[in-house]
Amino acid sequence: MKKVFKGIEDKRESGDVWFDELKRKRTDGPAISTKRYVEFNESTKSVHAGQYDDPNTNALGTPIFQCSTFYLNESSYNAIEEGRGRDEMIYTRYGNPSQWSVQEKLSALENAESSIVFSSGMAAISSTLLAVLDKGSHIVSSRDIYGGTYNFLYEDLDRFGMSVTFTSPTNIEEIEAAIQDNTKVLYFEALTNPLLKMAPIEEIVSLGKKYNLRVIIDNTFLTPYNVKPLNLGVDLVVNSATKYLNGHSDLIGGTVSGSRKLIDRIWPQMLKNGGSMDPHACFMLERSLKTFALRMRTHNANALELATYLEDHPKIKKVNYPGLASYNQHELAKKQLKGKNSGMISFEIEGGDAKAHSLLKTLKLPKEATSLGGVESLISLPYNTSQASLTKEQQKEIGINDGLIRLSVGIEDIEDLITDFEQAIEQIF
Amino acid sequence: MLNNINIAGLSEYANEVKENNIEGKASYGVILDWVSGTKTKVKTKNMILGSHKLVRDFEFTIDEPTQLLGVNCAPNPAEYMLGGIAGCMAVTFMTGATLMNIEVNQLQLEIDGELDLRGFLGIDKTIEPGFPELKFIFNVKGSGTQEQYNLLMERVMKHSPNFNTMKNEVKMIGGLKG
Repeated sequence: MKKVFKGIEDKRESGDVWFDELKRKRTDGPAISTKRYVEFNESTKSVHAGQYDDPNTNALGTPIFQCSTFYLNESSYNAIEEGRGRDEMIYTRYGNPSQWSVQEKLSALENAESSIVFSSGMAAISSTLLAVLDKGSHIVSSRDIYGGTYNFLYEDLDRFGMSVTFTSPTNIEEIEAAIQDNTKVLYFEALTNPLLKMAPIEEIVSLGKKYNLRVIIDNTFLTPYNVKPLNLGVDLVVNSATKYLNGHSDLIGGTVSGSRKLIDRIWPQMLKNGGSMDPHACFMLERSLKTFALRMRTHNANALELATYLEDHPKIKKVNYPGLASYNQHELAKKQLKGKNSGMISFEIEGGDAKAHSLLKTLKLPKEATSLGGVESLISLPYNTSQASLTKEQQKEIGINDGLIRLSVGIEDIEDLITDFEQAIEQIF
Repeated sequence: MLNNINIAGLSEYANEVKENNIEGKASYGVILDWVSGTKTKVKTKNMILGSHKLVRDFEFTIDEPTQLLGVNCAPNPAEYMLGGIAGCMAVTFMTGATLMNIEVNQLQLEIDGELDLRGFLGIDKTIEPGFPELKFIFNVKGSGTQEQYNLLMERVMKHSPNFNTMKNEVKMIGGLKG
């Protein structure tokens, strides 16, 4: 039901009305003549959900609504008056059919009532946290968290009168011990960078319920293909859409998904912070998402095979990968990921950072670049990229050892990737 | 938004509570610490709304005028109480006005009462220490008619939580920790 006073307009004018008679209820969306394909599987949802087919032209596929503003009419004026502007087309930062379309596809994939797309992952994360936190709030998060999020929590929260405690992302007792009287949010990454530590999502959700807290999970490394945090009871899930969701290393974006109630609270924060997604970027993201499940299947399968190959190689000291029996949270991985695992690997090579650098230069296929989740394999060393702000000693304390390499396994043919690693390792030793 | 009140949000919340009554449960509390003399400091406790915590990081000081043994550095307890009632009545009035499509340009609410401190001092046992009556006046400028404002005042008296806490008997359950 869209309108607040539908059917009670006369009672409103006479004053014979109170709040219990108001008609508007929350609904999924916002959406425009699109379907979610709820009863279908991942690839079908990826292809079809949220797509808007223009009835005027019969064009197949969501057009790019490249406009900043929309004609105002009685409906939009009513929406503004009643405070339900999120359900009307008024101005593109507020909402645009290109955004709604891709948001509906994401909601279908996340099993969410509602989603918002942002101009970057950090726009999604900062707006989400600022919307959910109260003055004086405290967050429990992980010291392994992505550097951009860490900087926001560590450098900026206190300017808003808020605070943070960083704990282990895996030790539930340590997480519980960090909860304070003013703790409002438990914020963790489903799989950390670069050591691939897995957050025990269901246990964190139980803690949230025990202490009346909100649980937010950054699922960038796993994506809704490998685990759906909302199905496990998480309140909100955020993603850097730059990574697997878009998957082509050609777009910057972010997402948040959850209940319509919570996403409606994040929406006005997004309006204040800016960071809405441009319609053309929405088009690119929606188009990329059509192959999302297809890509994820190949990322996962390639990563498992390559991780197995690397683990067996005598020049590789250690491989971190949830699908390996040697992974120290393998039982949790089996339960949480149900055999899907991940497209990310990290491993330590004999000979330390020097040999690691040589390997990166000698490989022909994986590109030496930061970021992840693209169709092409991407490879980098955490010590001089994501964890560069730490001293060598601090890096070792958290497990960033000499020779640690992070690999985002692409969708190239696995035979080619293994052959490439074989030739490169042989060449450098 | 009319009167800057999100009536759509209120409608969604009202319907949510209808379907899931727990979302209408709101717990409140304060902690008062004595500072010195008649001066005290109050911190608001966290609320639980539905099943989620709201962090309430606020505090305020209470004192008495010098004539009543204080140092007059803050409003006194009676003033906070009257302010709390007035604030609650104002919220109810403004949401109700928005519901009734009344644009309010100005709302001022006065509450006055007179205590006989002989009750507090114990000089006359027949005198109640509390306020025997409180008078309130709404000063409103807006698009509503007199009839609409009268109706709105009735609704405020019926639905305002703090007004009704004052008007009705409240069970006070005391305890002591040494």
